Amino acid sequence: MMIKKYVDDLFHGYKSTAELEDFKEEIIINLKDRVQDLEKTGKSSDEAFAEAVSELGDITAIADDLSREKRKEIIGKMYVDPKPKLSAGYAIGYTLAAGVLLFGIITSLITYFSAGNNLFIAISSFLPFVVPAGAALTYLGLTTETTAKYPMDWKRALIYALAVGVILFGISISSSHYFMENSNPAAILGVLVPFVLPGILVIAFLILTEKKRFKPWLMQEHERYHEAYAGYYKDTEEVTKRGMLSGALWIGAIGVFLLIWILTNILYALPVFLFAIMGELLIEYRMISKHKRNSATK
Amino acid sequence: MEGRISADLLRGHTDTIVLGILLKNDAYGYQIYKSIMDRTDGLYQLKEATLYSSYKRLEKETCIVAYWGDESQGGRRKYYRITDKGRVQYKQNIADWEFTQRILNRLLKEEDD
Repeated sequence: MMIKKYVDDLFHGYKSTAELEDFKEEIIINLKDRVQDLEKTGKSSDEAFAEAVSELGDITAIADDLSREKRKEIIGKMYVDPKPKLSAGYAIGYTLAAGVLLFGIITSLITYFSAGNNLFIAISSFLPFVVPAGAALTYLGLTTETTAKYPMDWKRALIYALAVGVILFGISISSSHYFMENSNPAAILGVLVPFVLPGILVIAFLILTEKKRFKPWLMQEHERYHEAYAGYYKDTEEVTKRGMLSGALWIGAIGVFLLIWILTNILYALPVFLFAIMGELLIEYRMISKHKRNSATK
Repeated sequence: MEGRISADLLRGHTDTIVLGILLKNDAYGYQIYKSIMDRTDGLYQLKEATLYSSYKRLEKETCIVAYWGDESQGGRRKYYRITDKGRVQYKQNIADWEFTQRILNRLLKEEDD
């Protein structure tokens, strides 16, 4: 079994083709025979394995020929335009969204000063601008092709944009309530929660189920990065799990922070982040100790 | 003075060595590897990877063909059989080598004469 795992690991980054599988089977059986013969000469199974593997030499050069993935990568690298250009529609969209946002800021500032420093009215007048601008910028940002990433599917990006819009709507409505005279914390929460919570949940769901949109060259960079960190985090899966854990932690922390802030005071809400940092350290510690355990059992 | 082996020189003849072994009977990878080791008394170790790339090359040139054996126990093995083209190639390689050897000997051992 050790041999099969070794050979599988050897060809880990290669796309499986019929020829490559054939080749792997051949190597495995030959290695097995070799290990058996070495064991017959009185070597321990570990020694025999190590010797057989060292006799094998570098076979990845052959594997390159048998796996088309490598070739595809090279072609992808050669022909992908490194700097995608922004289409006219997108340029207009970005400018419009930024314009709306700027216009909203100016309008609410004017309202603020002309209405006798009333934050409630100022934020209320900001609302019709920030919601569409925020949603539009989210949509445009996600569907724009960059040097590093392919554009997101437009339907998915639309859901993101809607969720962002809903969250912005909830935040601005409830913050304007906050500055309203004789505001009632329960009323603020009552406005905030139905908008922000579902919005955050939708976004959290989308982020956790996100497919990779990285371009091939970046994937290679990532692979190199993972190799460099191979001794630290066992594999990509663990890294992903870790990322999800701390993502959930911070989303939760921000939720609690907002809740405490609205119900009491921002001073009471800030320590939430201290707890979140501690949680982050705990996750890190757990990952390291798990990794140590894993390497100890090997 | 004891001679050492020139790994590069030997590697250049891997294909011929493999063809020579297959001349007598079909064999699978480890058998070929072992018979090379036996013949050199372990004085020189060819990496198996060198052999694998030799098989691939010879297969592409249709000097050998591969087929899976039907072992009942311990997993099936991939055997190689020499083709007629392979036999011709082998004879040619040997003739080339003998010729090269003669020339090299004349050039290298000039002082001895």
